[in-house]
Amino acid sequence: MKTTRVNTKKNGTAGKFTTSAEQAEHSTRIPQDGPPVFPQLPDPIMMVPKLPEELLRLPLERQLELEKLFPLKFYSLDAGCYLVRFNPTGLSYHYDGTIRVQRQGSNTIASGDLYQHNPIQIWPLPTIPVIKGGILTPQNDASFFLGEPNPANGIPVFARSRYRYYLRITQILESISLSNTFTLGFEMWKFNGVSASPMWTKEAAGPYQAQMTFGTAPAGYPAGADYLTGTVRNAANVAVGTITMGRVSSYLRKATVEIDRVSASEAPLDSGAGHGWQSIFDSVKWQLNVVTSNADVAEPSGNSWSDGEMHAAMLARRDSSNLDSEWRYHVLAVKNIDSTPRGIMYDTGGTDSNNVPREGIGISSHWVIPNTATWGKVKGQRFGAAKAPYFRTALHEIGHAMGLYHNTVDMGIMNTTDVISASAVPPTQFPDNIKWAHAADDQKRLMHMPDVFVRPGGVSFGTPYSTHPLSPDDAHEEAVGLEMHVLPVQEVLPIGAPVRLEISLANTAPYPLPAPDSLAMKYGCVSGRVIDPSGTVRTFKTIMLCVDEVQLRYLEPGEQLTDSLTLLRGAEGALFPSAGSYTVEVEVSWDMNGGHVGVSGQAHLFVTTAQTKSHARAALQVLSTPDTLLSMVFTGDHLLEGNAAIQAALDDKVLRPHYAYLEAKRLAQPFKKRKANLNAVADLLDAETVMSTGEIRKCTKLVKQADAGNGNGDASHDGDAPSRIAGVLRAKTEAHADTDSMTATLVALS
Amino acid sequence: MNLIGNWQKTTVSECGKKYPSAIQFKPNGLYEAQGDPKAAVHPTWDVGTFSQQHDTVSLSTSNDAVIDYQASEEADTLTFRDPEGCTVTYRRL
Repeated sequence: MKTTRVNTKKNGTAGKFTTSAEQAEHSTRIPQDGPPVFPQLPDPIMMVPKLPEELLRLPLERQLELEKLFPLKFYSLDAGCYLVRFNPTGLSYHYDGTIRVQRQGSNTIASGDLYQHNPIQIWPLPTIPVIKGGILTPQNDASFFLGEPNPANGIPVFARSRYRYYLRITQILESISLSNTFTLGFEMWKFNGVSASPMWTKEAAGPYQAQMTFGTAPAGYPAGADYLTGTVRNAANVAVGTITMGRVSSYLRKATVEIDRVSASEAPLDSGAGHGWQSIFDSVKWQLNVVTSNADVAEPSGNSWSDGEMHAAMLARRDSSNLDSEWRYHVLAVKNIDSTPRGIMYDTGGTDSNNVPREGIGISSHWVIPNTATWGKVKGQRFGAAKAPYFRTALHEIGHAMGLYHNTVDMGIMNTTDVISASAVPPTQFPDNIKWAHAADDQKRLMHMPDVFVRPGGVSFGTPYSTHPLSPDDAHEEAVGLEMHVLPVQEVLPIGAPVRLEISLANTAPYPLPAPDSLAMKYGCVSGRVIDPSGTVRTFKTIMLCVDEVQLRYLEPGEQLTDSLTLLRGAEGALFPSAGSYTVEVEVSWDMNGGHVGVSGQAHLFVTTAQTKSHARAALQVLSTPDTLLSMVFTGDHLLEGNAAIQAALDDKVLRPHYAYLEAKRLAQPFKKRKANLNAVADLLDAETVMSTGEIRKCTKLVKQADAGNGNGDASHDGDAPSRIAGVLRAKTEAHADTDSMTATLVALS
Repeated sequence: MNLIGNWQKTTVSECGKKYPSAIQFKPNGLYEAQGDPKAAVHPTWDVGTFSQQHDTVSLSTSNDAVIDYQASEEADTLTFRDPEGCTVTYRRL
């Protein structure tokens, strides 16, 4: 077989290989002051049956009969951790690592990490006697001397300094197949170092594919373990190496949690209601070895422990400290802590005495829980005696040590104790409303984040990653019977214009279904993402979260909720920054029965390019001014930059119809000493003004308020201004489906 | 000093980068903040509790430490000074 050798050479950085394509990539790296580049975690890979459909339809008995007549062998990939080895073509070193395969319903999610291995060249191999099972045995096993991971030891642990790549797997054998081969597709994200900027770069020669073939696992693997080999090809179909992967565990990751304590403090071992460390971590497929070790840690000089004293006690008393051979997290239970009432992940950065972050946490057993109703069944208790919240806090702090941040999406492990206790709704009392699991997105992080983010001694606490839901498919259960419809007010619009959407949530089931009481963005139920012409995904959610949470109610059969959205910017900047076709996905999701439920819909629209120089200048200003969004949402004369951008859009005849209402909204409301000005509002609005249904309603309400205020000095306008505005709005309602209700709204105004 | 409500960061400084771009103080003593997606660090304040005593505001932080800040409010501008001396200001939305 002809093999083309890829043009590789060593560069100046030890232990990394460079391709010509990769060198080209360097010129397109994101500037250092840009947003942090983080490898998006893998999306679920949907199950696509590999067997003939006719075979799948047969009853099981008939399939078994067929198997006897025509012996069939079925292939599938078991979930769990695979020991992986990638041999790049033409290099003296290779990469060892792991691939994690997770089943999620009928979907599969997979990721991996690679560590460079440059074995010392010793030849011939020496024969040294070692003790195996109590017997002295001559040892000349190559892997022993070359430092290769032993599959018999289960999930391997590699040295942090050798960490090189994160594998984002995009294709794998996700179901059952009659073929003994399948395609493994993946992206390779190079880790440039903790302090490098950017921290990650995607290999430009990818994505990569390997045609994997099932084979027999070598000695050392568990009996019957899946074992596969394949040739890795880059996007140009050039072979760049070989890869092997063999299953070593049904878990994805493994770690040790050592618990030390002062004699007066309890060890946080369980919830008192059946939840222990391993049962919590079973749901994220972590194999935990919990070691209750020292129970006699000496008290510090004062009544309470400082962060530094806890760190020093960890260094002095822990049983083991080699984080390159074991992921060991340390829990220290003490009576009181200086810097917090309940618990702390004190080991945040590389600034502590051993320059190793995220090794240890502290928990205080002698904090007294306030004697108020908020604290429910445990009010007034000593914290260590309140098993459930005490154990939960230890889990929470270890979550920080594993790289997780606070997460309020549910009452799970990474929410804060204060939020959970304040969220208990009678008759349920705290701590009965604790969810004894990590939130869905945190579960995915624990299973699929790059090793350096989760292992102790990896990147510092505070290194950012996306805190948005990682994948809508992971985050919630589909609300069966509810349908989400998304309709753009304009399907074609000029660059720089905000995108207006009419959204509706309908109950198509023949029975009532629970749903949010409102689709207004301010309640936090509505979020979404925009996919641009190049496939780049940008997200949006409310920037003004209402203090009151949205209530649920039953939506009757056939009933629908409606609302409107106006989109311009999201977390990653302008949502529609260039001309081309866009897909907008809108998701409505809510918490219910301890889970996360949601439904989504999408719409397509097209953004045209700048039509004039004036249009281009105005579009640039609104798209590059973050405060334009604040002016749209909050409205006020104090938002100077945002208002200036809107004014620039109003000065351009292409964008003016799209921004006229936004300025009218500001002018229709008094601001400090300025009165509402309906004359100016009437001059701004005309037949060309683009408005959503929600904006028409809001405008009507504002004009009525201003008209009422005309008598008390809050507004000033001619008598015919409200009727001029009403005439414009009435004409616009004719274009909407619910004309009758809109007209009724306007009657009072005119 | 009335903290309750929505605030947007106005400070642009190196030391202020670790503080969130927007923060909401709720009447029940909890706060929720939003980081700047362009920031190189997760915000020190993300979700937690706050309490006020005279000109000191105590906020729980992203690693659950509770930190005291010197704070003042004037003309809808809220100013915090952290223990390291970094000053960060927010305007009321």
